[in-house]
Amino acid sequence: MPALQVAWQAVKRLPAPLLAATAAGWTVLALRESSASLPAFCLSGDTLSGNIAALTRLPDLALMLLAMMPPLLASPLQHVWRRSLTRRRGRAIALFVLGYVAIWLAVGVLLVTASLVLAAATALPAIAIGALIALGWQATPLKQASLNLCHRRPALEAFGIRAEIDALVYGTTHGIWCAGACWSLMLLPLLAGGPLHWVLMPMVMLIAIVERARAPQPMRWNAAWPRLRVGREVRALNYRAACRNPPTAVLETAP
Amino acid sequence: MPHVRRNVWTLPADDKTLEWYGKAVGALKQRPITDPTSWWSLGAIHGIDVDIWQGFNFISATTPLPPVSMQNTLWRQCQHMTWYFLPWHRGFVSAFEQIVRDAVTKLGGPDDWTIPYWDYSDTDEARELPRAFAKPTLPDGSPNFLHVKQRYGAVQFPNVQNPIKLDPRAVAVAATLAENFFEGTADGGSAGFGGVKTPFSHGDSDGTFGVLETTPHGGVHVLVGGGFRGNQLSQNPLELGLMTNPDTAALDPIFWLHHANIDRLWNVWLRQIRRPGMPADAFKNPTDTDWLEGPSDRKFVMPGIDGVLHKYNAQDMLDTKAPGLDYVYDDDAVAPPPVTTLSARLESLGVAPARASELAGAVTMAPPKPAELLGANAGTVRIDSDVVESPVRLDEGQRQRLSASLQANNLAAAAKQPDHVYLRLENIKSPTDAGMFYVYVNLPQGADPEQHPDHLAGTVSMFGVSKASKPQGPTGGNGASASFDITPIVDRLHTQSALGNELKVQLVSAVPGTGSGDVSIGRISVYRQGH
Ligand SMILES: [Cu+2]
Repeated sequence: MPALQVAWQAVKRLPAPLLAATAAGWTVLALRESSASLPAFCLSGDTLSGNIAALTRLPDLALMLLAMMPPLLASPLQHVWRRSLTRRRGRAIALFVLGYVAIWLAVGVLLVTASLVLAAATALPAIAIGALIALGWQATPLKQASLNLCHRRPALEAFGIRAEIDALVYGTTHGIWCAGACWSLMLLPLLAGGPLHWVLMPMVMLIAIVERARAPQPMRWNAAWPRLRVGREVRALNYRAACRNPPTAVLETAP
Repeated sequence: MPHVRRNVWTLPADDKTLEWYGKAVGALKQRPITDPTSWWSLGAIHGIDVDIWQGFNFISATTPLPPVSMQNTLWRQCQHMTWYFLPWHRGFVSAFEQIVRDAVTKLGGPDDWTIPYWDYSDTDEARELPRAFAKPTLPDGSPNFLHVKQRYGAVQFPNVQNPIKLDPRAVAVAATLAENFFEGTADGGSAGFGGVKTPFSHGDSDGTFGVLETTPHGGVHVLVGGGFRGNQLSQNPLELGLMTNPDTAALDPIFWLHHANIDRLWNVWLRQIRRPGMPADAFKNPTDTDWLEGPSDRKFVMPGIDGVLHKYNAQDMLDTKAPGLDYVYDDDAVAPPPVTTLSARLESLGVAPARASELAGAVTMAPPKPAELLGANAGTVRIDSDVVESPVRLDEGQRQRLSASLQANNLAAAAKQPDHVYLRLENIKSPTDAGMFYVYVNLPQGADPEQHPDHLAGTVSMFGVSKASKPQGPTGGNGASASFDITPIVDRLHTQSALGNELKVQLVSAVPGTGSGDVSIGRISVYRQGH
């Protein structure tokens, strides 16, 4: 399956520290889930109690980010690493991450609040509404615009305070574009509890990796549906001459 | 016996290769664009912009196009700024050659036609566009299909160059052939002879040109196509010559001779002899399955002479004598030009000759380490005049490490390779592909660049850059990057004790008067690579 192949390519190329980060995120999440003393952090409709929920859930959201984001961050982090002086690399990465995480935590508060409101306010299962929101956002040109912006790799100053500012600004803006591309997908696992939550998390991660690997596309409605060129070849197999001088085009493997 | 591709400038006087080529081009142009073996569809495999093609009257608004699924499979495949550049283009030129050969045979010509190559780096004379391509008509007055009037940019500045003759700096291949590795990295070190490793067809949006892709490939495209227009860069694609734009380039019959030469240079590079001190994979193709079997997000597809589409990837392109390709070059047995050996470099850095050759034999052939940033300029550089200079500040700690690695005493004592230094132009953006400049390092004040080839780092053309500058383009609007090995220049500065805390980089417009503030470079950096 091409999607899995693309995702495997992305994970295979992950630098060791990022691989460790993603593994740590998944491990801690699994441990918390299996530990009976803690409440299931993911909402399952009936666990809504008290309004402090939004803030107490933030650590869980941070863990989800730790588990799911490193594969998406590999390329921008490498960009910062490679384009910084060796003695400044640690600082530059820290500033990038600071800006990025700040944005996601702010977005996270909104998402958790939204998930609580959704669960409380409707008779429909919250996950169904979440799915509609995700499908709707996926269809808008804004989704593709966000994905395109995620490919930005700006020039970074090498020396002085300008270098610091560039790293922080890049992390912050990348956080905004990343949240623009992923917020509706991230809402899904927040809306589901139990086994469904554990199905949705890797699915969302797979979708996010594949759509990020895809080259930028013109901004228009429905541009952002995950699709790969290899998929289209199958349709080309059915191409039967609409042309005047038709050599029947059939795909064959190379000799 | 495989078919032999020959040098277009040394074909015998009575040779009919180009005559049959012209006739076949005429025949392929008669085929409709819906036919994968037509001139038009073959050009569209590289790239097509329907509006531009209509503007040039190659197609009309009512011309039936193949179904979208077919277009998505076959058209707009060209691979640039990636390590798939060479294998993809090899399959492309070979498919073209077989279709033209079939057409020549059907026209009553020989059944062993091959595409000649244009070796513009060979002699002074060879830098001129082969003359058979420059005449609008044949001696009998009939049209010459090797000539296309759209080859010549409509606003050539200051006037159309006639005949087209390439600048020697754009076709200087010695440094390209001396590049040790096929695979480049995006970490600031060499961009590699064959290009930077990209897992998907368009990589990580870094958009780095490979070394061969930069020189001579890109420069030849833009110098043949032209379309330069003073300091008011043209945004009108119809004012560019065909070769300048990837979406029209393959519609100029000279394109195929240019790419046959690029393909030949791949063979020449592979014939370079690995010298003492060079790593084990020097002058070898990658063995990485990501290259051999990739890219993972699309397949390369070419039509056979019957119009049937075939898939291929890099591993099918390694042996030109294989049945699917079936060709050799007439110079395949000629020894390639020698490259600077490690012992010669050590000598130039002041190590005694005897010790230098001893060391070159003994040096551990360690693969290069990841490159480290040595310095950079500040702010965006705009190419708004004929010569633009930008100071590149060097980090003091990194500069000391570099100097220590070049120190003759240190070299003579320890069997360790001296560092390499690369100059990078990052985030190059341009609204047009008709732009080109030469990159110099530390030119003396007021000096005539042409008199100082020893300061020349390389050539950058804007071929493909306008697309790479668009936010919705293949590199997400980041533009392109180019990388040059400036080790010899830095070695010389070092031995002259002139390596200070700053390098001065000069960007010199290839056509005077064509500088424009619309062309910009996000950052100019230098990287140091140890072993
Ligand atoms: Cu080309």
